[in-house]
Amino acid sequence: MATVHANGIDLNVVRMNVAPTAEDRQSAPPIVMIHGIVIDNLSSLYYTLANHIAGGHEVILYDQRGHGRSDRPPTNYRVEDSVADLTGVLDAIGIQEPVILIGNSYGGAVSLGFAMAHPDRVAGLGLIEAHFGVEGWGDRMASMLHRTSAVAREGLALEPVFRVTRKVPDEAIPALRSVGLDDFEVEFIKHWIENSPMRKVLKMGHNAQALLDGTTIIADLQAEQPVPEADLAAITCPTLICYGEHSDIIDRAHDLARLLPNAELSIIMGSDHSVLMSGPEELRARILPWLARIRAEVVVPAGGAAVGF
Amino acid sequence: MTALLVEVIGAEYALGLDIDMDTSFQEDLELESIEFVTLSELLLDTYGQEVDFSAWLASMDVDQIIAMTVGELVRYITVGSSDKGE
Repeated sequence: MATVHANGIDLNVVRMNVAPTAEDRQSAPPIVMIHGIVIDNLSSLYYTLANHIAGGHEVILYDQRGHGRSDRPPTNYRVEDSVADLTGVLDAIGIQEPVILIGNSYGGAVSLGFAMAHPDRVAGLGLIEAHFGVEGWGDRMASMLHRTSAVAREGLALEPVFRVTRKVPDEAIPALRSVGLDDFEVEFIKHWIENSPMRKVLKMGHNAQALLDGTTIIADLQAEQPVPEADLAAITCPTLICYGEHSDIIDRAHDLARLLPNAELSIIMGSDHSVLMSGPEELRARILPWLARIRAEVVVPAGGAAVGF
Repeated sequence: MTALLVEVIGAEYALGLDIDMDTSFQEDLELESIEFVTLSELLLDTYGQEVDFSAWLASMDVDQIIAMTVGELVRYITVGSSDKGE
């Protein structure tokens, strides 16, 4: 674990099974894992995928700006800033060889952005429930994040009561409903708050509030423009597209499968957008054989650079 | 070990805590997921170059990992043996 200075900020980076030489990195490309936004950090991928994969490849995880133990600068939360952070991390740790990117949710948008900006630095893309810019995406993300911010605000207003009773009082329910939560969501959140460790709940709330209300992340994402289809179609590296059957963004899966020339689509039945946490075994059953196929395709001539992707 | 934990969770919170080998990360310390990762990496840097920590963690699911005690983690990283996950 280390702090890496990249793109002008300090980012928390975890490296596992570090490949000692460039030749090692060419025969088994390092895997970089990129998490989602707001209620997320590198730990979600650490527990579900990284340790299971670390046997054959170097695995690199990092907390995105504003998340986990990385810096939370007040501005620059566009996808292109996240791509610049990733570029900066790889440059700072000296990895110039192609890497395999595995991105979950918003991390998928970053992975796609990096692959479009630096095609020569990508050996493969593993996309889990990937977001990316389509018509109306910025508005939908902003609306969802405004709502998350309101939930955090209303939830944290209960902190003095909650610290004593560890209960969400009935009189707080109308406030939670007023930010647009339905009965099911209110019950879900109430149950989660009351059954999780108090310190963890409060830290999560405070971190979400600091990111959503204390930075430009919502406005920056709202301003995102659709990614041109031709740019997606130019991504030629092997790509695995994993989405849950009931995902709210399942249309993105079909867009990517239609546009990317070297992609395979893998729908996980019974799962939704939260598949990384709810169905890690299913995901691993798709991702591990796909990685083995990429490894098998990499040919490293004696004394030369790798070819094959 | 206690010093590493205090570094991860912050001296202010750690102040009233009595931390020993039976202390649970989830129930007693209320550790966040990212804090467990940080603590594990610090322990590996300090003690555990020889153990296959990834394979050990991969044998458990998230809930099992977070429910561990301080002693279980320390025993695995420092001597490579554990009564969990093997």
